[in-house]
Amino acid sequence: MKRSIERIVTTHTGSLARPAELLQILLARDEGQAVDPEVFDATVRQAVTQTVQRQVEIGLAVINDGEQSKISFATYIRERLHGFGGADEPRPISLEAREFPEYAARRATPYRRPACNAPVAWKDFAAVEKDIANLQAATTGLQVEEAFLTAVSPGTIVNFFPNRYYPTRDAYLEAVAEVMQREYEAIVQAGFLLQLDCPDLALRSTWFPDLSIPEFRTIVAHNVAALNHATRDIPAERMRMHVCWGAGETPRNHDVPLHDIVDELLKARPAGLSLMGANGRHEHEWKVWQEVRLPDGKILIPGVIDSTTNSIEHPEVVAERLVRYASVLGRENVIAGVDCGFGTNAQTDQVDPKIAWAKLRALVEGAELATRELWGA
Amino acid sequence: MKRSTDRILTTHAGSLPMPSDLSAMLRAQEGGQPYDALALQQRLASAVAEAVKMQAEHGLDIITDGEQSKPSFTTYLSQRLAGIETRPGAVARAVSDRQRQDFPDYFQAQRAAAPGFGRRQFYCVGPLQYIGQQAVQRDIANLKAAMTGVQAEEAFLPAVTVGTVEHWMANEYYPSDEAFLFALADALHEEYQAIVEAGFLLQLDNPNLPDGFGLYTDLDIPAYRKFQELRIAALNRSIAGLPASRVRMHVCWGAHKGPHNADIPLRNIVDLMLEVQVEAYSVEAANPRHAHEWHVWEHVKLPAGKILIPGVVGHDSDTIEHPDLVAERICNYAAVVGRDNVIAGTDCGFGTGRLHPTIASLKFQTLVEGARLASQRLWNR
Repeated sequence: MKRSIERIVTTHTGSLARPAELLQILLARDEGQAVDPEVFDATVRQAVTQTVQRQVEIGLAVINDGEQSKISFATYIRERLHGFGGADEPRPISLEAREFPEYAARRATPYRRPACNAPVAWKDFAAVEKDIANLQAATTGLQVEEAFLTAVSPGTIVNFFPNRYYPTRDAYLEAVAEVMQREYEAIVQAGFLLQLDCPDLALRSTWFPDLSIPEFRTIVAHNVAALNHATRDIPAERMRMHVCWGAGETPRNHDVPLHDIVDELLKARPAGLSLMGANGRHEHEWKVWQEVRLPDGKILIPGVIDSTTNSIEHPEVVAERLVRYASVLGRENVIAGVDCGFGTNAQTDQVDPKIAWAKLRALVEGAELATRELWGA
Repeated sequence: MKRSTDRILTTHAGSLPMPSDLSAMLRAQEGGQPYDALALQQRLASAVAEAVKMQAEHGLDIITDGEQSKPSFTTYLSQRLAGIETRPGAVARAVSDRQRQDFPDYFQAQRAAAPGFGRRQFYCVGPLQYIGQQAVQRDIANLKAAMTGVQAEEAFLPAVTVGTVEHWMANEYYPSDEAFLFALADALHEEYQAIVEAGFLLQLDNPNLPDGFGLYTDLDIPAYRKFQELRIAALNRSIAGLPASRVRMHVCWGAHKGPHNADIPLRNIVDLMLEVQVEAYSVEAANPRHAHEWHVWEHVKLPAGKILIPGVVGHDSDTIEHPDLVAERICNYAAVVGRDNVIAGTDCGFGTGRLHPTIASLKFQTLVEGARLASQRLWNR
């Protein structure tokens, strides 16, 4: 994994806005409509090529396919695996929605939520291979420092699709981990960094609103164990994980403090840990690292750009955030990242796509300013 | 004016979400539609009482009427001035115009989502005369009544400034810009004087100083600074004779959500801001376009006796700032200008559709809690 040896390396969380024609096809597929597979593949291929070029142009170091083939960072897996079906299940009512029902009703994100009602098994592994081939093709001939592909964590799958088949949550989690191992390993074998998307390790209010923090920590511990099991044969250095408290512009006043889960997060195998650090609820959490030692070999990827607002961060704000992290962790252990994806769910672009690119440019400029400050001249 | 002598005081920029029945009545009034004048007066009084109670219950120290009588912090003045007219279809320029050149699609979508976007353009066609005495006395009476029995350190009333009115008022009567702006200053002086004489702090709402740069798109920074000199002179004329100790000024870069990439940096206008003869300066500072600007005060000295009111919670996101972050921001300012010279504020008003009432309330909660944490740190308690 690329480290900030001579300068602050930059990356982002994964999803980027999809072109209108691709979005249309993704939505049709999600609704179960027939879509010509060749048209779909060609549209995705073109979108990946464009998004890769754009990332390189603005100067990002560690880039990806913008998750162009995926309807969402998590539910894409429903198209790839057997085992999910039936009517959409109700979602838990989050703590925010309980406290402010009228406000929360305006902000519900649409997605399909069938249950797991049969053994989980691969249905369309070719989809993984296509993502790999698309990113390989798109990066060929370009100056790309490193590329990553995202995959959803076992615990997130278990949260999204309720268990109506396995005897226990742990049995379901283990089965999902065994199946997902193949996707994770294929990404690393192709030479890409694997990013595991793990909102399940922080998102209590949405999925477990009735659990206390100690009870939630038990869930986190089990999810981390499943993640470690699924990635046991992958070198830690070839993996990073993104942990976050939900992608939306929400009050976040019930977010579990990083302080309360950080020890469990550090038990996960991936060397890179991507966390929110820009939005108003988590910006102060750089101070957690004054008390908690980042183990040797780990790299922190704090969000220094908020992925939920249309304000473009001033590069000096970005630099200030990075320098704060570098001051407690050491500059070589920090990579500049984004709080979350700009298109975690294809239907909801919260940030205007052009503004999102300008925010990523501010990330690059801010990292340059921080580099000057941290390395001199 | 109260200062943070033994703890960090809290305030905000003025407007608060308005009850929907009140805003419907105000829209009818402003649009020349029939409305029940007595019902409006009564609802206004009760809305101000509710707004004051809400601020006091949150523990805010320096509070206001939430601008409940004003559909807009600036165009309310069109109802308090004689010598002006509007014309069908005339729309004023917007402070987002400079950014709109870079992000046309974003602003087009914003406008499509908000029909009637844009302020009506007014024209000065005769001698300007302040005719808002009754309106300002009503605002004063409502706030006085609402403050009865309420625990707060101090109360303020906001009023718009010359340069900000100029954003939507063109001069077709006076022989020069100076004559026009000075006449406008003299008219506004009457409103300011009424507020100060009533015993309230006067807050000058002067976003124009920063956000005019977004509107006057043909000016570069040196030309813009030159342009603002006359506006500062007119502003100082409008407060001449009022004790500076009873006046504070709010400046910001326009409350609209958006990229703000073309905002003029604070360092380019801070000297002009300090020329305005007020005791306290409220400056947008929480959102990520301006959060670094506390460093400006490492190079610019806040003159003795002055107070800085940085925004430490913002309206650009519904995310509620963590109290530790609020405290960190306050402490940064205290470190550069001295704890006694800092009052914790907001980036801009939370009303006129900017924040849902629930969010506004949570933001006040975190502001007060953050100030309490900062006070503990700054006074070693």
